[in-house]
Amino acid sequence: MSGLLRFLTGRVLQVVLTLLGVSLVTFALVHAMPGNLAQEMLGREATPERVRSLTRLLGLDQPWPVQYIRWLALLVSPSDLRGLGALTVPTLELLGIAGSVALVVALGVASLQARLRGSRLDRGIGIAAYVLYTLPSFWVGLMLLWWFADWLLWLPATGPQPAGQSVAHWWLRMILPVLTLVLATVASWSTLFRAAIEEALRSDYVRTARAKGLSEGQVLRRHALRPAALPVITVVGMSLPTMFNNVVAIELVFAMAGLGSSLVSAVWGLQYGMAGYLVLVIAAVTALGSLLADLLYALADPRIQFS
Amino acid sequence: MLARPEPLPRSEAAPTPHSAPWRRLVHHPLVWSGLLLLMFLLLFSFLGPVFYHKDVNTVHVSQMLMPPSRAFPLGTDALGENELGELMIGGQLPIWSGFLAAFAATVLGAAVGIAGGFGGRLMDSITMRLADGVLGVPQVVAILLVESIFGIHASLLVLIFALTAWPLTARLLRAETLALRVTPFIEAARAGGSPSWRVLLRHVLPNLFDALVATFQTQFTNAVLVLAIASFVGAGMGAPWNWGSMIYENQNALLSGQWWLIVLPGALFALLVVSVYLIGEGLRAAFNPQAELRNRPEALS
Repeated sequence: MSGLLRFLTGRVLQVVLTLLGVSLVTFALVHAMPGNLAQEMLGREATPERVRSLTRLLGLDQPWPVQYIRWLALLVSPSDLRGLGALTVPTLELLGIAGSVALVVALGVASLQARLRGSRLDRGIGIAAYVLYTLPSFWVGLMLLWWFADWLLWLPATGPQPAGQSVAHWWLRMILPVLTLVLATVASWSTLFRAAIEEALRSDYVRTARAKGLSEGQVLRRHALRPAALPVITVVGMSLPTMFNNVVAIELVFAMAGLGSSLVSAVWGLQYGMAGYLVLVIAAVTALGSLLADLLYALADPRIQFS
Repeated sequence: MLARPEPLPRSEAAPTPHSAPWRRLVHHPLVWSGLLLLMFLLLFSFLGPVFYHKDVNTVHVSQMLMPPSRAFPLGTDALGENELGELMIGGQLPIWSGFLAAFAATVLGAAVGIAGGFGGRLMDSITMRLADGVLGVPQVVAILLVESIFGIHASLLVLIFALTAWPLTARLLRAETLALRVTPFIEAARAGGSPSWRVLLRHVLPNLFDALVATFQTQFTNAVLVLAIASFVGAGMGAPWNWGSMIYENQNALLSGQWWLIVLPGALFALLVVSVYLIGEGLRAAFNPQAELRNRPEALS
């Protein structure tokens, strides 16, 4: 059990260090604006005394470590946390649902490809996956909107809103954004999963299983998918940043309230302070997500527990 | 007395423009389709506007969202501009920024990765810790943050992409370098007294060709997609005109029936990425040592 503990402590430490680094860089960027912030806020005609008093009020004359602590402290104040939390939930919902669906679909496609190795269907799926991969996610989202919302009128044209809709309607609204994110993610995942499954299919114990007379499906399920789970977990954990890239675009296209769209609004309004906080939250979510993946990996790989 | 050694067979000598890999490259169908596609896109975006500048960037307020006609071969967009002209100009930013960003990320990542793989254990763990840290940064998020502070500048986007995308390349190159390090010929080179830099240049780098091409393909795809998203979002901030911002500006065109205003820029993005991918696949297939062995079984003995 100590191997597991050592592994996890190392990973947690890395997450903490990464977040520290991200927060420092974000703080440096946000406060690196040339010129005095107080001067900017008061305008050109402000008297030096007014600039000085505002500077003192905002704490801009403190040494930067103090400013950094104050900036962080503002982030964890209850009102800020509540607001940021309200934004994080829709994004997490989108990520969670789309991630789970993409995982199942990608595993299914990859298993199918591994079974039909070398056939035309295998190559066809591979080409289709690649073409899907090259299409920008916002473009796919707009296409889906056009077909299903404008043309067929089957689905609503916006994503779930913060309030004011029934549960059923919430799910209905979630379909298109989730579908877009799934399409954007499945392409790369199925290719990587396929490589992992094929690797597992080449091992000796699979050869034994086949020699025993197990059907190909049984071999796949009982002997190949388990060891393939390790690279699968790694891939999923490492995909979080890319998924966030797409989430920003998707939240914008489907007019959803979430971390991504809020970041976009902050950027449009040149509100770099707000943008800085949002980036920190996104970095935290990403880091925690990869930590979760590492935990799953450690649990799935017995070698870590008993080393 | 020592016998005079036989001159080496042609293809085992240093590669010349007529040696086997080059011949394979030149005859490879993938390379040609990719090159043609890329050439078309380059000419379309950079040479096209020089010759075809009919009403480009001129707003015709009375003629917004018109279907294709003689005056406007692809119709007009939501701002009343000539769509064909806009598509041409719109490609310049994705193409040059995509290549530059991918190149920068590849060079940076390769430098770090090779340094980590070839240098000592300390160098390796420092570089890998750094890579793991940066790996968790979503590129679009970083770009947006910087944009909110410094405004939208294409070269800034390229820089941020390179600074956040290099870890992927670094990891791959590190793994490849580590694998190469323990091969007999590298060990022989070092045992023979060659300084490290020479071993790197003459023996390690040429064998990293495959990995470098593969990683450039991936980085190019990522760069184009990330910069597309950044342009799409940046359209709300007065970004320079490009395919991504065109898609944003013309979102409502889907409702009014001008679907090509959205479909065409998206398809062009995909074609750009595919062209570079094909060229890369052709390069890798041509310079693959396995191909040499397949064609000349006597080389094995």
